[in-house]
Amino acid sequence: MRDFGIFFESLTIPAVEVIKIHCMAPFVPRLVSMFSRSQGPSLLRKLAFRTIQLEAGELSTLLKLTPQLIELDIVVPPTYDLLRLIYGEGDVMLAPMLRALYIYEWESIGVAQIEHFNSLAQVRCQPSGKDADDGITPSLGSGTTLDMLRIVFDSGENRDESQKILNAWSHTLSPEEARAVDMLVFWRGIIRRDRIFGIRDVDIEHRRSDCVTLDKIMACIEQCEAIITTKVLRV
Amino acid sequence: MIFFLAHACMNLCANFFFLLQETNIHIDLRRVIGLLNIPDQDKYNLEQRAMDIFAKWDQLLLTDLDDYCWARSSPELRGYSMVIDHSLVYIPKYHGERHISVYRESPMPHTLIYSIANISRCREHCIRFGAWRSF
Repeated sequence: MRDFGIFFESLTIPAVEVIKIHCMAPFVPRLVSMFSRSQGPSLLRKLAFRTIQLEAGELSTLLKLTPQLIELDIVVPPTYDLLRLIYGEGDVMLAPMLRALYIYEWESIGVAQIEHFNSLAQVRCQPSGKDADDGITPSLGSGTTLDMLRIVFDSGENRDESQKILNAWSHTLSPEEARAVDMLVFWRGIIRRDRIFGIRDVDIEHRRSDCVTLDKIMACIEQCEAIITTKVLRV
Repeated sequence: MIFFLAHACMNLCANFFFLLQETNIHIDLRRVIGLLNIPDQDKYNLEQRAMDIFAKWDQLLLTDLDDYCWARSSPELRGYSMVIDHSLVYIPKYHGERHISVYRESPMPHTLIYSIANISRCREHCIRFGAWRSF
């Protein structure tokens, strides 16, 4: 559709329950305008959209107009909106009935976002009355807890990197360990790139060649264990 | 002497645990091993070696499930018929009075490490073990 503006401006949908939009053009203000025009509280229960332009405040405004929402599937929102999704706006909790939240992240989670995502998880997924480990994270109060909080990445590498950051898996590696990591990462790359044993009915010679590769990988792993054993026993 | 050996063993476990977290090689290796149709079994003894490796790793990984609040998720078909492949799912440490360690007692404790199964399987599992609120 070439002009979303005209489409939304001529639309009033007070009873709509599901909206899915995939559009790179900025359309959220039009959506807000449409919900504002519709009389009575919105009955929208599921909202999914992808856009590359989401200005600060747009999502919060939209969520205030759609309090019945139980499922939200969006691109990663600006920090302004993320904080409001966590802590609410004033006394108003945004999307209080939300049960499933999917956030699409274009790249790996940045250091600045770690705290926000973990706060979002702790505040909105943790049942009220059971505080988070830190003892200072506020509980949700009124409103439902999320059954599903999922961050979707565009690649496995970004997902893996983000998992380390979000779970706080940070380790200071000794030179021996760093060497072992380099070797394992190299072999992991071979497994992924070549997809060994990944094709059905490949010829016997191909599978023999895969065996040689896998033998080297196993030997590397056994060697890594030996490196660490030696290092530990030397301490 | 016993204290020294115990300390050394703990260090070894911790260090190799870090190595797995850092490289994620256990995830790809398990996938590959699952696909094996190995010729020359006598020559390389790959299956037995893999079983030995995973026996050690699994024991190591399952002792620290608290570190997996953000778990990998299996591919799932949803939305605009798109496959969600590379995603992380948040697993709260507590749900009701149950701790995340419920996964250790479950029939598929590895799901937290290797990948949470699709949502419906996850629901079945969690309802059965009371870790999740009913959907």
